Amino acid sequence: MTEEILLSKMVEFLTAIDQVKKYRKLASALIDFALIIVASVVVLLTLHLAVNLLNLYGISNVSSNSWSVAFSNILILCIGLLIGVVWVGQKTDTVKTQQWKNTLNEGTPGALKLLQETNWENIFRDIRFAKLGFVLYGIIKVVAYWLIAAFISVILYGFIMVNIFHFSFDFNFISILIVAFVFVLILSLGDLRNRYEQVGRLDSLLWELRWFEREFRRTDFQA
Amino acid sequence: MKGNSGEPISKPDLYVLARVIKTLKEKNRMNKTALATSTGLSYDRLIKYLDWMAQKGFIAFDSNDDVVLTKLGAETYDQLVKWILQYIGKVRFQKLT
Repeated sequence: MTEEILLSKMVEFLTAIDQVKKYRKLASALIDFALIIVASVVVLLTLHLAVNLLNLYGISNVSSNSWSVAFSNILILCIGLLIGVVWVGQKTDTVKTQQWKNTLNEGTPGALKLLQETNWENIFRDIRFAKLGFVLYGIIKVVAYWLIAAFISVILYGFIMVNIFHFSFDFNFISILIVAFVFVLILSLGDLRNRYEQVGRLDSLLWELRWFEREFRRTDFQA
Repeated sequence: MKGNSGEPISKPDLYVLARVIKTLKEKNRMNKTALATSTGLSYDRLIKYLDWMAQKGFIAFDSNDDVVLTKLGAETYDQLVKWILQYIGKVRFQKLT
């Protein structure tokens, strides 16, 4: 019975470590994610530049404020965000988990082996990186949603003003940005709260493991 | 310490000890060759561990020279489990999603 408790505790420990490894991978994929978002913004700006240049040289007559350009803005940002999320998901999926299962099936000897072979410093470093990655990933995601929400708001505002109230399409971009930001914040509240709690859990895990590593290494089993 | 040289074991690897005792607990008694195979140890290394364990009173050899786990050996294994649990049992692992 005691051995079963030990093994279930070991499963908890190793599962938490696997999750930390995934978060660590998430942190390293963060640069890719940020680059994909920046690249989609660059594509979007290039599109505007191209439209303006074509208009300037009289090759085409598409206004950069036209619906088609506005929709393509959203489409580019959405595709960028989607590619980023899928990319990060694929990166974290490459983390091999439960590789300890066979060793732990040996029972207490396996648990001992896994504890002896644990590289604690790596784990502590991974947890610190995981915390950072987890927070930054959330922030970048909110920024990306914010950009999309801002473009959708501009389109909606324009549509309502021009087609319903028959006013000219004149808007204050700063106020739209603020409204979009508040809107995205409200929608992302659950995700942000979850991230905040997860960071707290990672912090707590770090302290618990530090204590365990120190105590376990300090004492020697006297056979 | 590694047991590959001719020297006796001074500080045994707990993992190897635990494997030997666990195998003996499950099979009750075993001959040395079968025990080496079951534990994945080389025969020479196993013999060194068995010598050390016999000195400590964890195992004994019967009339056929088979290895038998003593009461002390079984108790030591239980103590080992409790020793690890004493530390890991106190850790509250947070459920990460």
